[in-house]
Amino acid sequence: MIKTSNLTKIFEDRKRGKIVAVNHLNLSVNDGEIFGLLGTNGAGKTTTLRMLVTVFKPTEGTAEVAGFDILENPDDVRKNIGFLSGDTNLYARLTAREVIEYYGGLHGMSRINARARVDELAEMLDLNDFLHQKIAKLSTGQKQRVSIARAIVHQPDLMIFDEPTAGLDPISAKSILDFIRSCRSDSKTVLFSTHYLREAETLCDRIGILHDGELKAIGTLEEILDQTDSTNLEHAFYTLAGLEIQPD
Amino acid sequence: MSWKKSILIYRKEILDITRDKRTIISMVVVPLIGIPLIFILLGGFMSKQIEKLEEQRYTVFVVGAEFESSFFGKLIAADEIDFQDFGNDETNARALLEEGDINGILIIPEKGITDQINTVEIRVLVDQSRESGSIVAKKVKAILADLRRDISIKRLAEYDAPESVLTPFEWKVENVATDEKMSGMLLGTILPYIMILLTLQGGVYAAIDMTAGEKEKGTLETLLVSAVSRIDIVLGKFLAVMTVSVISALISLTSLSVLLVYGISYIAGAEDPVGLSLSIDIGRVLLAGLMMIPLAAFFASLLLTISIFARSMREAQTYLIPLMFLVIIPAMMSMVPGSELSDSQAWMPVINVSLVIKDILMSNTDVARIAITFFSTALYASVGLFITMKVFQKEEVLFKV
Repeated sequence: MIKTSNLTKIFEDRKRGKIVAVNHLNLSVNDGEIFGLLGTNGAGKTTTLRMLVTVFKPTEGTAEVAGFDILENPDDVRKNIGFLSGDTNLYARLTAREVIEYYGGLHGMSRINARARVDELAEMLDLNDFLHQKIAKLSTGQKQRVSIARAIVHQPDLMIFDEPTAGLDPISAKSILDFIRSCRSDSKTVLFSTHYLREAETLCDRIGILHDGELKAIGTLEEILDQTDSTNLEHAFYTLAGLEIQPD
Repeated sequence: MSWKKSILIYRKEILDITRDKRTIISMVVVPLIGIPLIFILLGGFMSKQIEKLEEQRYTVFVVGAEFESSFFGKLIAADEIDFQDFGNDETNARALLEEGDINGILIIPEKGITDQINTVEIRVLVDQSRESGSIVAKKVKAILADLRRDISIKRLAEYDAPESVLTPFEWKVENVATDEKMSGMLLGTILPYIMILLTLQGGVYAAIDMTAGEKEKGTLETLLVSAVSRIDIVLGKFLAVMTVSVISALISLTSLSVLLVYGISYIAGAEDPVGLSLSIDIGRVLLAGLMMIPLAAFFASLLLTISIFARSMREAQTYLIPLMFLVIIPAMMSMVPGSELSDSQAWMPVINVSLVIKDILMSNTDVARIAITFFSTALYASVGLFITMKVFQKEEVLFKV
């Protein structure tokens, strides 16, 4: 579903010069699996995902996402993915229904189809109580559910989440994690980034560990533990990131 | 590119922006109520002040000749000015005038005005740094002119000459301009400036909200990851800002036309309230409105291009201040006395629209210049839109990484 080849992003900064945010990244995410991209802040997770969703152009290399090249067919890539991050907020002055229908329309759905899909999503995500309320009036949890509806309105087979639970209270975070689990049962592919090791451990089929823009390890949890001679992911993560491990 | 998606974005932006009180204020309330209210209040206040100054009774000291009744009778009888004899003390009188205790001094030579043949010089001293100065001068002059005429008639009577000797001829100035032309002149001077300014002002908030506002509220990335091209996004937003600008301009055009036509006597500084039967050629007003469309498009592209560079709405407002100045100055061209659109000016952005609207309203229709203004402004708008689209492709601008 996703295959990157030498995906690289270099930012030019006036003060700091060249910053290599992602360095020749090669990874693949298989159909139907939940893949977790793990890394500290500044490891290059967001930049990687932004390249995959075609918001950023890679400096070097490319990637195939949902069957399309991110450089050659960015519009087709976006048509076939659902993306959710801490930076994908909703229009506060529109109602939940208006927002979801709007994004349905942007994904090429007719008005009638978008309306029907909103009704379906409202049932599925329990939005009916506040479907006609403006986003500004909703609680964080309610907003999260509308955001999920927004991201899947066009029924994408691939979901990409960038730190979806960052800054959320445990209940809102749980609704996101439950949704990621439900993607597995719907045989959708999920790529998500996080710096919460626990999330990666419990949810992911495979994990990639990114540090300083480079992929340090990739595999199932067991494979990574083997590679790093660790007993838990925390230990493996610190080893790969070259950080000191504090004795328990 | 997909027109369907651009129109969808356009409709969403209009819906979104009209739900915001701030847009309604800048698009509707300011041009419809705010600006006319300023004119009415300011005009009303100023004319009231002028009336008050005119009605006040002023004190003028008479210095020099004796206060004899034959000459001064008329002065003393004057209602508006209280003439008082101050003997011969010019120095003290001047001090009082400078202090503002009195409003003027009349200096008459000591020998008075008894001579039958010669002309005597009377000096009127006023303090023109005070608002009352010129009013007192005007009133004293009128009284003195009356007095001079009375004395002249008396003198003529002594020579058995008729009064008409003093008036070899009379004259009368007649204004050949039609009411429509007069309205056009008044509208043509003020309206272009205000309309251009409100067209820009009307679009400012919308443009900021749709660019820096989206960044600040975190909705831009949501839009960018949906299946819509950036060209469609720009087109939708551009048309929305333009619509808001045009509506703002049309509202201001309507409200100001009505105000100027029906309330002209209220307008500040209109000393001679031109006959109240002013009228406007609707066709000309519509043509003036039509000229605002490419200008609104040009402004929309400028506003979007500049404000997308900002990270927050506040930052965007700061970025737009220089643009406001760049527009205000050429927009003022219509207010420059004697300004008319020249061939070369027809190509200059903003100046051309300001002057062409003035020309249209003043009935100086030059089709070629109107066409050049319309199409050159449309051309600048197209170039502006092209730049907006280029800027929206730049991830370093959209994300400020």
